[in-house]
Amino acid sequence: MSFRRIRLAGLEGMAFASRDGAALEFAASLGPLRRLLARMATKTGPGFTEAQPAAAAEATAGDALAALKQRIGAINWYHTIDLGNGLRTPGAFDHAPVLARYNLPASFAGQRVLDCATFDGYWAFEFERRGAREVVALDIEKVGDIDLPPRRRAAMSEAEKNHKVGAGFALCKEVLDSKVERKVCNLYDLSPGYAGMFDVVHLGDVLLHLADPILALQNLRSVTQGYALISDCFWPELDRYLPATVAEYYGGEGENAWWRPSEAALFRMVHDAGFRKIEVLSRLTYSERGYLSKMYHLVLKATP
Amino acid sequence: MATYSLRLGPFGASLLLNRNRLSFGLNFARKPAASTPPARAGRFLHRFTLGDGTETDGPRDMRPALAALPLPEGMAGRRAIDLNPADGFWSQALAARGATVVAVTPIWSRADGEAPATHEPPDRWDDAFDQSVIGLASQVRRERVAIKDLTTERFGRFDLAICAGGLGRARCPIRLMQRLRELTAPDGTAFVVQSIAPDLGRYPSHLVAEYRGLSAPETWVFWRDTLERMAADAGFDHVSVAREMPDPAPPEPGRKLLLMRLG
Repeated sequence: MSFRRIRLAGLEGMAFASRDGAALEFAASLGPLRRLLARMATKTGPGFTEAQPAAAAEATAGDALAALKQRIGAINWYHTIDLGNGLRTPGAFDHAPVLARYNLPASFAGQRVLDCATFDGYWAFEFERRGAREVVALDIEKVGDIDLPPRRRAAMSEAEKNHKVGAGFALCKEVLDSKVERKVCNLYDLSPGYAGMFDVVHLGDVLLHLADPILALQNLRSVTQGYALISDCFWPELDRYLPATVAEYYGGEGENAWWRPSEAALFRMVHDAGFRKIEVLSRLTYSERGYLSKMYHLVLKATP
Repeated sequence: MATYSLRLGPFGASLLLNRNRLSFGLNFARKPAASTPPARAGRFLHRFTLGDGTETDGPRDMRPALAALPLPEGMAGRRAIDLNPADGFWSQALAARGATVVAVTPIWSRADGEAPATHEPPDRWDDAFDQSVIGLASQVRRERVAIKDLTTERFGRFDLAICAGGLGRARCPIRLMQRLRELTAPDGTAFVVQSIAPDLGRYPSHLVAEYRGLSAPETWVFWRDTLERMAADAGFDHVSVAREMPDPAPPEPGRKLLLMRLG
């Protein structure tokens, strides 16, 4: 294999050749353009809500509402959840505008549903809203239970590692008067003996944060009686390695991302977990609040 | 990241846009020629000399790799761990140098304890291992443990650790690399011997590994830079490539053997 970097007219490029193929690629930095666009861009767009941390709660009246707004403002939100009375939590991700594109069943009536890594509980409350007989929401207990790189873990204080998660879920459960039960369990420890079997098991946007995504999927499969709904990120630019099914190693950096899989690698992992029938319900993109670039998502229905 | 690609037969074009970069590329992928199937292992995986002087018939001759690794000659009084020992080639080499060796095969079971389906039975190399350490048995202990039990509480820490081929067979190479670091004493040294695919480095901005699946002979195939980064992330302060050499029994053309020294 030979590889050479090229510079041409201010562009960085590379040329690669081996007996199996060749490639030529050029790239340009978008830093200056991105900064200009960010200054020009408003805070609305695909995947964004109009709500801002302070404006998330439209003040109508009442001390109770004001107190609730204050409680909302004190939490770092991942999900954007409609709490009624014009209140929406200012989450980093707003699934409402893209919910229909997940192509989920309209009703979960009579079904026992598990939502893994529930975080603030958007999906758990959605399954409840769609008529699930019982919804169990699973998550870790504290920050230290996250799959952290060893050096980052060593650098954290005990207080940081012991910081409890789930405040957002608790607030939403209270406001929505929800019956969803939150249980503490690491995906790496999930088994049928923990909470029994489920008709539907949901896992959303978690696999990239796990050093051992295959174990999580295997455990998910072990509690799935009906089918699993797995929606997670994939990176289509990794298709250029096809037929190799690759995942990009990220080492727990950034938002604690360990592996960024190609679509084919994600499929293979789900299959290896023991799911024999895998259907693609949707491919969609959406952005994190405040960012222009979109993240690709695959929504799978996986049946044991 | 927005990506647009077009493929017509062996030719492709791609346009990638992410937060910081716009990339345009053209590529050509030739259908790979049929390759010679790798030699199948019989009773032994490695080719080496047993204690009674006989030479094994294993297809992988790792003796040049052994010679290339900067292993200490005298290891009397030192503890060594061999992760993924197979037929005991590396355990024998370490024991012959005087080390007390623990040879551990990690088992990657699920939370409910179900053992994984692997392409070979877990005791595939037991007989060969026992033969390889004849005369050295008092120095060598072999175990199979769940990955969650591969801990310093159970095994202590070692002056020297070696993981030959284990990362590619692991369900979670990250976890195995982390265990390798934990089990290596602060002033100890670890060695990784791993077949790699340099072709995976053709887009150097991506540190990739190929996931081939749990039932494949190799679950993961790596690029050199990916393994170096994985070792550094696991907590090794010093990561160096001792040698990159031709793979003595490549599973497919183009493979190299990576020898890394970690400390």
